[in-house]
Amino acid sequence: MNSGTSAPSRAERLYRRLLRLYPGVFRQEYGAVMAQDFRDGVDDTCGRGLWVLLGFWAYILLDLASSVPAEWLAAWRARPAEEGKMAGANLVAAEAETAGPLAPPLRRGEIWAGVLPFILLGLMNVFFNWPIEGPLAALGLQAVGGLLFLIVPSTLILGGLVAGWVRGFPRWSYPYVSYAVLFSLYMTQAGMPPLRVFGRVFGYRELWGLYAFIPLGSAVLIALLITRSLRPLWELVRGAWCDPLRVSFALYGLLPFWGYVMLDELSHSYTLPFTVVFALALCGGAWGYMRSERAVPQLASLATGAGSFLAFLALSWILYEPIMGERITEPLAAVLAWLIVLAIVILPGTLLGLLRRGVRALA
Amino acid sequence: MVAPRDPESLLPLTPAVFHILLALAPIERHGYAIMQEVQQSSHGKVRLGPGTLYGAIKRLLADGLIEECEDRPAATPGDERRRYYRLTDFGRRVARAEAERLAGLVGLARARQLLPQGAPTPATGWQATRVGRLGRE
Repeated sequence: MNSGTSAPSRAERLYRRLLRLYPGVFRQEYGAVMAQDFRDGVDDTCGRGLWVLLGFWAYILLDLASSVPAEWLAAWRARPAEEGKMAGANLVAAEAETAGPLAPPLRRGEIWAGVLPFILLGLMNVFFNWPIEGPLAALGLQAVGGLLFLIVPSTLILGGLVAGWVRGFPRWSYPYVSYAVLFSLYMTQAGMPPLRVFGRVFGYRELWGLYAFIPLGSAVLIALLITRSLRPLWELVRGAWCDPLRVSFALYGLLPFWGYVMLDELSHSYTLPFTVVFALALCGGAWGYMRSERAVPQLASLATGAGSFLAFLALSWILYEPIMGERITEPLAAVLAWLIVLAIVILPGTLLGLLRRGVRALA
Repeated sequence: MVAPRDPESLLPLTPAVFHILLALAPIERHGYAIMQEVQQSSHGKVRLGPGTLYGAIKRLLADGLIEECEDRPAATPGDERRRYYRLTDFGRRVARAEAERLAGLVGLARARQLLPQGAPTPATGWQATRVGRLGRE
C-alpha cells in the first residue's frame, strides 16, 4: 500500500480530474482520501497484467458513473430552502417547498437575450430564402443567408448555450438549448460536399453523422471548463419543473428551424415574404413571453406567436398551387399540420404546469 | 434530551451500507481497508468503489451509525492522512437488527424449502459467520 508521499502518477492525476465531477462540498470532504484509495488500488493492481488493470479502470469508471449522479442528487436535496433553492427528499417534496417566484423580474438585457435567437434565425431564414433569380437576386443577399447559416447556429446559438450554462440556465436560454440539440441532430443527416476540413474533402454521399455533435460537445466542454460543475443541468431541469412554460419556450425555439425546413424546397421568390412574416410573428411571441412574468400572458404570447407563424406556414402551402401552379399538399392536411405542431409546442408546458399544480395540491 | 432512535427505522439497509457496517464491526478501518475487507469477505462478489464508499460513509456519519476515529492507530509513514472509521453503539444495534432481519428471511426461505435445512449455502456462508459474530457481541 502506498504511503501517499510520492508524486501522483498519471493515472492518479486523471482520477483527480475526474473527481471534479462530484459536487464541490463532497469533493472537498472526501476528494483527498478518495485519491489516496485510488492510489492504493493502482499500486495493488500494478504488475498483475493488462486485463486486471483494465478491469480496475472499468470498475472505477462504473463507480464514478453511479456515484456522481447520486452525490449530485444528494447535494441537490440538501440545499437549504431559505436560499430559495431546492430542498427536500425528492422532486415532489422540493416542489412543495418552492412555491415562490423562481427568479426576480427580468432585466431588459435578459429579455433581448430571449428574443435574439428568433431575430437571428429569422434573418437567416429570410436571407437564406432570398431569390436567386429575378430583380431581387441582383442584391446578392443570398450570400448573407449562407454566411448566417454558418455563423448563427454554430457560433451565436452555441455561445448563448454556454452563456446560459454559466448563468444556471435562466429562462431566456431554453431556446438556445433546444435549437442547438435539434440542429446537431439535423446535421447528422446532412452533408456539405465538397467542403474541405483539415485537408479532408467531403464526398457527395457523405453525411456528417455523429461529427455533427462536435460543435455542441465543444460548447458543453467549454461551459464545463468555465463552471466546473454539472449543477447548471440540474438548474435546467429545475427551471423546467418550477416554470413549466420554459418547456414550451424551448419547443417554440424549434419553430424557426421548422419554417426553414418546410420552405426549403419551394421557390424562393414565393417564400420570401412568408419568411419575413414568420420572423416577425416568432419575434413578437418571444418578446411577449419574455416580458411577461405571469403564466397566462406568457402562454398567450407563445400561442399567438406560434399560432400565427404556423397559420401563415399552412397558408403558404395552400396558396402555392393557385400562385405557382403546383400542389404541395391538401388544404386539410396543411390545417391539421398547423394544429398538431401548435399542440406540440403549447401542450407540454401547459400539461406539465397542470401536473405541477396537482402535485402541489397533493403535497 | 434526545429520544433514543429505533434501529428498525433505518431498515432495510442497502447492501453497500450493510457491508460497510460488517467490515467495521470487529475493528476500526480506513476507507481502502473497508473496500478490501468487503471484497474479501464477499469472495469478490461485492466491490465498493471510492465514490460509492464515501457516499455511503457520508450518510452513515450523518445518521450516527459510524464515527471518525480521532485516536487513529499508528501505522506506516503517510498513514496520518487516512481517516479511520468505527461503528457507534447505535450503528452496531442497526447492523444487528439488519442481520436479524436477514436471518429471519433466510429462516423463512428454509421453511419454504427454498434452501436446504442445516448447512449454510455458499452464498450465505460468509454472512452467517458475520451474523454469528454480531450475535455474540
